[in-house]
Amino acid sequence: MSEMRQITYRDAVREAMVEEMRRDENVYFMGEDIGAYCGAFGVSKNMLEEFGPERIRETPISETAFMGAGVGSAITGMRPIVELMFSDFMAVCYDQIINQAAKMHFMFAGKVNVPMVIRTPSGGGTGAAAQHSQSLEQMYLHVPGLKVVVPSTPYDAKGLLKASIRDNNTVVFLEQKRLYKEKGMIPDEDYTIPLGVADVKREGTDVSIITYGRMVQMSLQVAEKFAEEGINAEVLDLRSLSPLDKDAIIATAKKTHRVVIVHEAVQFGGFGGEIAATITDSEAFYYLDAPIKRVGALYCPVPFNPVLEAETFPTPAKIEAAVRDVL
Amino acid sequence: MATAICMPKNGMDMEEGTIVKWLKNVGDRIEKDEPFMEIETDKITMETESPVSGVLLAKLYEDGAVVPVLTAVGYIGEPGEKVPESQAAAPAEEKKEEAPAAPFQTAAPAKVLSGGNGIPATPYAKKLASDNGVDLAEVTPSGRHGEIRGVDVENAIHAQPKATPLARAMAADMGIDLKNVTGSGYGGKIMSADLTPEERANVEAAVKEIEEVLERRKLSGMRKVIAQRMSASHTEIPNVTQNIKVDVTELLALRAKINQGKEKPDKVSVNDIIIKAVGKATAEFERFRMTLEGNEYVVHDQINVGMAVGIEDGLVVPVIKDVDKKSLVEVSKKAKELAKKAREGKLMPDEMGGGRITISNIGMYGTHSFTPIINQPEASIVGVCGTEDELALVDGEVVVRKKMMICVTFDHRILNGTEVCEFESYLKNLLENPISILI
Amino acid sequence: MGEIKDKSLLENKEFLQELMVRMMTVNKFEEQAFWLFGQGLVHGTMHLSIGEEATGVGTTAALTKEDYMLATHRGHGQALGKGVDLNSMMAEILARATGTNHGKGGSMHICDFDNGILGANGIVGANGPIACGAALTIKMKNIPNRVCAAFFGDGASNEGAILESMNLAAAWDLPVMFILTNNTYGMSTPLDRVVKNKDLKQRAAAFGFKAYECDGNDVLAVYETVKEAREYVVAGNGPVLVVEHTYRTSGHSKSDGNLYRTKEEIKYWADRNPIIRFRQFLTENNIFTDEEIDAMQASADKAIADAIEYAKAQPQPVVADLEADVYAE
Repeated sequence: MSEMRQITYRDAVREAMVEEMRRDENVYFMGEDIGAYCGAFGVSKNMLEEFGPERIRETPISETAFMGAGVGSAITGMRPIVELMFSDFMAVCYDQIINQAAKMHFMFAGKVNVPMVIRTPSGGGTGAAAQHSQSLEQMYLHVPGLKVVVPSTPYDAKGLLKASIRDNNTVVFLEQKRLYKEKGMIPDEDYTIPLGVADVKREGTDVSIITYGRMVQMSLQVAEKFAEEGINAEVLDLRSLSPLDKDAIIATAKKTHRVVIVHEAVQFGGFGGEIAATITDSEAFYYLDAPIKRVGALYCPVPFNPVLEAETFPTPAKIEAAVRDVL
Repeated sequence: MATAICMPKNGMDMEEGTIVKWLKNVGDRIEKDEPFMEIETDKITMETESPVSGVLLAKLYEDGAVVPVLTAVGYIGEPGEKVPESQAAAPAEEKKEEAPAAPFQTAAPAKVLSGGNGIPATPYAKKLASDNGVDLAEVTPSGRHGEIRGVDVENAIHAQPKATPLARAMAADMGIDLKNVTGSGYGGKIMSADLTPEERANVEAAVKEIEEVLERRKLSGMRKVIAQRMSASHTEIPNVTQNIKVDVTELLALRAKINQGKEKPDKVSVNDIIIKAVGKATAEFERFRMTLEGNEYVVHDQINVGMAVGIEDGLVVPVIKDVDKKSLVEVSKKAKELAKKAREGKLMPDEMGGGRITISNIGMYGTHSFTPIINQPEASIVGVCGTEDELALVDGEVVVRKKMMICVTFDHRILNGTEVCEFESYLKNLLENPISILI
Repeated sequence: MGEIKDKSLLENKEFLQELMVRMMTVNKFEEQAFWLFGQGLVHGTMHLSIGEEATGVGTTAALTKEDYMLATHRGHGQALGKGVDLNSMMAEILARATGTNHGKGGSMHICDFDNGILGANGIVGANGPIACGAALTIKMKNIPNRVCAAFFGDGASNEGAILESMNLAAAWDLPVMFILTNNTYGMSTPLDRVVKNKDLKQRAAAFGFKAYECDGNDVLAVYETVKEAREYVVAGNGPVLVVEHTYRTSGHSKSDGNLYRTKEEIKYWADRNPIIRFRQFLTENNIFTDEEIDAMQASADKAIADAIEYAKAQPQPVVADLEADVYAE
């Protein structure tokens, strides 16, 4: 039985990178201000000292150039980790991600791999306003050839990032800015978490809350509150959006007969639709005792004012209301 | 050989082009890559160049013509070369195969649950109802939109009486409400058997207004068994009855002769003689000694003839074994013995089994004809009816003959009509020439 | 043809023949591809490089087999020069299962990783950043005597991706050769209407690295220029920009009706195309006779005819394999 120790989400991400860079000399890390500045969110602290400026490679503010450089080096034998300072900036270098990285393995008949990890802080709640607060997983999910991972705990973050770095495809690793300082327990030993496996964070019988990212915490809070009323909610953390653990989704829907989907991304056109369709287009349909409800962000850019901002996103009250709706 | 020049396909979706203007006339020399006509597509006007050098031999379309792509518009070759007659569309040098569209993978159609008939219910409620034989029309909905939810069906199930799945299914089939059934199983559980008397009770309850019931009698053991066996025989066997009229005048005369000087207990009955005759006929016709076991016909050689004996409250069929090896007197003796035992309820099991054919003689009641039911697993049953006087013409004179109907019901899986006709014919012959029965 | 710097080239008949045959092969490939398209045998569209043969052939002749190269959507000549198998490339444009991309890429995405062809790109300008990446690998792994050449056109040179990657390559001293084939037109817009400064080689200076320039229709000039530039890069001096001035005789793509230029202009350049000019050079310098050069043409014609025969006989991809290769194992 290995020792468990407490660690923040941020440090768990760093540990994953450090361990993989020690393990494989082809892994290197590229991004803006990741060296002495330690990264916009402090993730790469001390990495420059250990690995040097060649492998902790600071870039000019040229997302297209360095994202493309990630692709070019990935197809010639390196395993880059590219940090996109805010996931909103994917719009700046979208071509290199969706037209180049996502498609090369297929277009080139499987003759080349693009083993790149794009790490990028995602989500709102930091008062950073419209252009720095988005959850844009749908923009990656809809393009065949990318994998998309959204960890919600330090344990998941470390295990999933290591697995992503070892994956031979381009993985978009959507870190949750608001969770960087959250603490959790991880084992001492080396471990990875396979992509495509969801995690039941709380077992229940009366309703299934299917969620990911920052919303996992919020859903668990809501579940605890319901427990006081004798209502036992199950919380399923998807962890990996592509590949998707469809079996876990179908199983939980069959088990509790009631489903609420919660995500921070805008509800309209959001991934919740795909999850709901996955349930209804399966045998789980016959076990549903209520319509499937989704709780997502409102259809508007993220506003600056903190009260408005909080209301844009799902809140415990909104999740609670959705659960009551299906009970 | 002349080369066809075609309307080129200059874009993925180009289907036709218009010849704006020929740049050459028939007889003109055209060099390779030299433009020979101007065409217009829906996007632009452009020139088309020749693939070969030669002389323009023929124009198949004139200026202004709209031509489908890849269709020959003319021919270039050496002067004097023959131009093909038919305007074949430019041969695309091989057929462009359309990759067959992959069939869309849809999930195997999930089981369609019946029930509901337009009653709003959640999928889970419908499933529960279907799995448990609950009629949604009987369920009280509690959903916000008036829909039936899982919990509503669960409540309905718990309010239901306990019953075996078979009983439940039968009740659903018969349209019986289990609430009205008394269960005879452990803890009052309703068994399938409990349904039938209730059904009858329901029917009779409906009839109650019309007549007064004198008495109710429970189905006793023997009657119950008979009822079950007759029911089985009737439903399982494709049975056909064929009748034949036999002139038994001689037979009766012979019997009278045999019985001269005999005491009553020793007298031979008509039935005894018929037993012997049937035994002989059965020996003659193999198929009458067959039973159907699964997919096999089993032929038996022992000539065992059963005789139906009516007793109080029932019917038994003791069997006389090896009828062909017994004399008429021995058969008669055996028949009397078995009949006595039957009436006293003292028949042993081995005296009742092993029959190959049964005789059901109800002649003493004067029955004209009937359709006896086969005693399973036998292939046939011989029904004997009463004797009637009939006028006949013998040697030009009107005389009275004694006639008797023989009704043979046979299992059409084992026997067919013709075979039975032959059997009956043979039997008739025996009975009409009774001496032949004894020899 | 311009002055040749390395006179010993004139003695190297084998090399000169190879250059000519390659140009003729490229030219014939493009011409036949045009006809195959007109016969409805090629799906989609094509971007032909007739008139630009010297840029593809001359440049790649100066690269090694191991050098990385990013080709453009107009890259049949670039791929051919770098060593792609002719039959496989023909099979690919006919969408066959045995094409370079198993029928899944088509004309715009020809690849051959054994010959360093990291794929042709359909997004103009995207080659720049990817080339920086390949060059980064060369640098990080200390691979000696290796460069990454990225082809792009005058139109693409205004893409942010190219400007960013030039800056990045310069800032990081990456062994990238930015090969700018100026064929005078973007799709239909002539250069002087889309830039203020037509002297494209000055862009390198703006970012702080060296530029070269040559007559892109003079195959030997292209070869020598790229050779010199390559030596400079391999010596560790960072990236270079090589501007090759040429002219595209064929339309931009199959639906181009050449409405943006005159027939006279096209004819002018067609008469001065690289193959005609090289033939003149070879005959005037008594290196080869016209008959010998005709024989070269015949061999090129045959190679293409054989490739077409080969390609037409190749099987179509199997629908069941459609979703294979979305992900790597």
